Amino acid sequence: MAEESEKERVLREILVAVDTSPHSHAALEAAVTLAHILEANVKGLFVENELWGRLSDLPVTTSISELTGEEGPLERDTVEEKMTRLRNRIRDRMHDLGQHYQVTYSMETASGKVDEKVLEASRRSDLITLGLKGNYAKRGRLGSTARAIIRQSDKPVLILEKGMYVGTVLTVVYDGSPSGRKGLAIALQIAKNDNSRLSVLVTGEGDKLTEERRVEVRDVLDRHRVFADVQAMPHADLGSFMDVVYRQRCGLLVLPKGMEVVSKYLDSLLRNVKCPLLLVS
Amino acid sequence: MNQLDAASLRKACDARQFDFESTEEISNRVKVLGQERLTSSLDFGTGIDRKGYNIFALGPHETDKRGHILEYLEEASADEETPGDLCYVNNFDDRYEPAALHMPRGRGCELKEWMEKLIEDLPPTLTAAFETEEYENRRQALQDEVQDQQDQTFEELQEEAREKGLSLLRTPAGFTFAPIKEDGDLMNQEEVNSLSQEKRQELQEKTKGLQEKLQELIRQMPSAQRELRRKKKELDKEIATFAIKDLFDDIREAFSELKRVQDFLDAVELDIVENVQAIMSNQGQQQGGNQMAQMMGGRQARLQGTDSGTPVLDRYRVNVLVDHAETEGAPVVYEDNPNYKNLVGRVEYKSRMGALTTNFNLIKPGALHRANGGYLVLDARQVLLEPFAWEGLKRALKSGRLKIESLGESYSMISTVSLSPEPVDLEVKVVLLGQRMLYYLLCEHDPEFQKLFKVEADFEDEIDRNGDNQEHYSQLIAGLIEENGLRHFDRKAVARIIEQGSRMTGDNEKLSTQTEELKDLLIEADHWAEENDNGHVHYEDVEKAIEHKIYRSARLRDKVQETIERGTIFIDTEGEAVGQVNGLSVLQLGNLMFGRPNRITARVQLGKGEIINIEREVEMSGPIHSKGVLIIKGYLGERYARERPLAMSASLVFEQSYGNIDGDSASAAELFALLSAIGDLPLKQSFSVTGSVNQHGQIQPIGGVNEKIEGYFDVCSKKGLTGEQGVIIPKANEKNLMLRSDVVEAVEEGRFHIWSIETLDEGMELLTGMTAGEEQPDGSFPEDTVNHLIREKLSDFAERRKEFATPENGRK
Repeated sequence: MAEESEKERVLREILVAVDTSPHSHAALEAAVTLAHILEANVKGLFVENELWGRLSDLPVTTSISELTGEEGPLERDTVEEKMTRLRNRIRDRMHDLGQHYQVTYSMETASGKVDEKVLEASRRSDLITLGLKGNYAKRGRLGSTARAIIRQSDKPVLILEKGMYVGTVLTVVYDGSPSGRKGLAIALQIAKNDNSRLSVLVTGEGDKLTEERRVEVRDVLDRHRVFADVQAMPHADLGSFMDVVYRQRCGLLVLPKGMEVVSKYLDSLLRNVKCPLLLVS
Repeated sequence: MNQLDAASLRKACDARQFDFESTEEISNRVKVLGQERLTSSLDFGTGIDRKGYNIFALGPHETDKRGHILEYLEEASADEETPGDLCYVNNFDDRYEPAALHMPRGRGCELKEWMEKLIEDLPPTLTAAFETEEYENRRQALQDEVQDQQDQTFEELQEEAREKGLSLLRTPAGFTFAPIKEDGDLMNQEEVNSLSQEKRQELQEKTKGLQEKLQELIRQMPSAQRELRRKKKELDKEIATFAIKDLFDDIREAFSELKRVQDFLDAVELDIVENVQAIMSNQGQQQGGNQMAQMMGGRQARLQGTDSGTPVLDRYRVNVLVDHAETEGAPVVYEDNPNYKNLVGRVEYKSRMGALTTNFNLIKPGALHRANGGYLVLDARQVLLEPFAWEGLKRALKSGRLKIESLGESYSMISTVSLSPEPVDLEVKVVLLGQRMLYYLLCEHDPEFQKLFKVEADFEDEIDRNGDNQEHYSQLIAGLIEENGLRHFDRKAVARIIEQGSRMTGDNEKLSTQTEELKDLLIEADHWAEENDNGHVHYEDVEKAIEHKIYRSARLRDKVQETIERGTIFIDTEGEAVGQVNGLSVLQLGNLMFGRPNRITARVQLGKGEIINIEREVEMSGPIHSKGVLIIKGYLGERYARERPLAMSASLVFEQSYGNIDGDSASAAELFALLSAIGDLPLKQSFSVTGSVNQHGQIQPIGGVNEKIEGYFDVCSKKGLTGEQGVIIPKANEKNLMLRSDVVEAVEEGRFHIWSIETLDEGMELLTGMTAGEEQPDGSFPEDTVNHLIREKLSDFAERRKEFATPENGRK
């Protein structure tokens, strides 16, 4: 019962920021999948950028179609109409996914700056799911919106890009911090519900501390009756960390947000690990 | 005329002639006898290797044609070369036309196993190769190259826009360029409006230039993506080619001498390289996994991993249609359900999500495939009864090619895409089994039949009954006993079987070779031996089997005899009557043929020479019977009315006959009745007569003589044998006599008589007790003879007719 209540407290609602980018679609599917496994709700948030309204008010503004390069007038009515279509499309997609995975979902629309609105909405949620970037941010870099949300949010953030799927191996990094513990709890819950193969990487400064944390993790695993592969990683520099992660062939990588490789080398991590990251605050 | 003694009524088989006590001692057992012509035909048919020389084995259904033909062919084919295996594989150029792959004997399954192993090893091998860091890096590098180029272009465009006081922005309606302030924030409407006309004009021109660049950039994006896909595919091919090379090495070596297999392997290898991503996706789908993997990876895999609903790897399988690994010699196939599909093969379909799909793995062989290179034995009647089977068989034999065609496709109103497997060469000898009538009908009505079945293999129904053949017959009996796992027969039982074999032919000088009927008798005799707890089958068991078989079928015969006995059907077996005689007919009802007496009567009056066959008048007479009656008229005219007209009219009838009558075996009896009526000569009713007559008054042989005699004997027995009763038969039928032992016994004791005659005069003498009378040189007959009285009577008719023909009566 204690475990059940913990699961409910940790992940009751998953917020997913949705827009037109394929990364956002991947994020939506990941959010629904996790919600299905963890019996959580999904809330989709579509933010209408305030800039769009301002642009359409400018005199003689034209738009260039992304698909064909055709030129057309950018008018408020056109933008409104396109946004309505976009909202409907996203709603339909949520509906399909919700029905398919038997997940309760809702959708909200907000207007303003995307990062602000997402952070605002996340206060009532337990996890934020984001596409790595928008359509045309430079490769391997976090989009500015995603970066701002990760930096400012106190909720776990799941980020991924198109083509990334949560595979059969779940890897969690445990560094003894509260966010590490929280990440371990989430990972345990997922592993128990989905029978995923769980792998725990224990980090610490020095062998002794690492060993203590490894014992700590073993206790938690025993308590939860979850089998996992526990590896000690005393020196968590970026190179050796990524090497271990690569060899794990992770599906989902759960990391404490305060970890040095996250705070300092997030872009490099994103460029190289090629799996969804769940950053836990 | 000849009164037959008991010894001539049944040609007994003397068991003492055999030098064995029971069939157990017979070592030289055979299963077929007296089929020299058939064997010669089969030797010819199987020996000649030319188109159209297929065999039709014809004979009565009582002959075990199938057993004999199969045994012959199995023996003949044992030394012949065993054909190779036939496989179907995917045609990588056109998957709707699967390719036939001919393999040496037994190697089809070997290739299939190799390919199954390859299919099993392929996904992990590819997965391992495509999960290497090198591959990931190279693939990513390709993607990054394009992405970087695209990013760089956009960044440069954005930078250029900034330098020009504009910003590139993305909206739901597309890209747009908007003016910005010095701090980088967008200008609002008022700020734009406050700009000078020149400044606004300048911004518009700059925007225009940037838009053109953006448009060009967007137009180039699809070709960049195409190029990326091409490069990725090239990379996949390179990796896959390297990865699978080892997998193919062993197969190639195992089949190094077979060029077609090497070509097939080349095609497979090429296809794997072309479809490497689909293969790996398909594997992911088949392996399943946990919810996350299925939900997220599986959806993707389902989209990519299948081709027309079939697993990708199935197309590398080998469908072994015909495997001759275990076949010794040429194959001999008997198809007991020769419908179209079972003959020429078929393409099956699988139902997937409500739709029917197929592929070359679902091609199924027909009997022609299995028999190709050997012999196919079919029941002709069954082939003809199955829709399209006969035409399908002929088409295959005519063309010498075996093509699997779906009837549904051929006759459907809607043309659908289906498989059209590559036809294979057909070298098969077809042996059809059927009855003679069927063979002659096919010869008559199917012009192609004789071109395709040139060899007629005719089963003999009977052989001569002589000492040697009786010995051979015992060997046949022993062979059939062994084949059917029966008790051994003692020699008396064997002798009784031989007698019955003779009775089956209706000829005491012949023995039946219709093994089916003989086998039934042996099995039934064995049953009665079992009932009687006999270790061997004895004479009594055989007798019981014969009697019981008749008893089982004789309900109607007994009913007929009962109605005669009770006087419902009028048959006199004693006394005398004018214009009335007992004829004999046979009835075939199911398994039983039996004889029965019929009262034949004749009435005469003055007339113009007409003889009215009453049966014919009411259309109850067959043509042969009618012919017999007309012969009577010819005989009468020639014998008694050469000098004057036949001035009488007569009517002939089978009394109390309620069914159709055919055959001429009663023509002698009819003539006796007619002569009796003309001459007013009483005929002895104790006799029954059978035989046909010709225009010269000679008595000709008839069929079913044994059954006829026994039928009359049974009637007389029931009414009471007086010692006067008997049957008059044609002399030519003496050789056919194989009568029941009770009839023979009655004759021996003088309670029943059998006479054989050659002429009508002999018959009239027996029936009237008078001399028939030889014709004198002047054409007259001695007085007080039968013929004299008849001629006198006819002369009297002629005179009366002459008197009657006056002008007053309308005659000149």
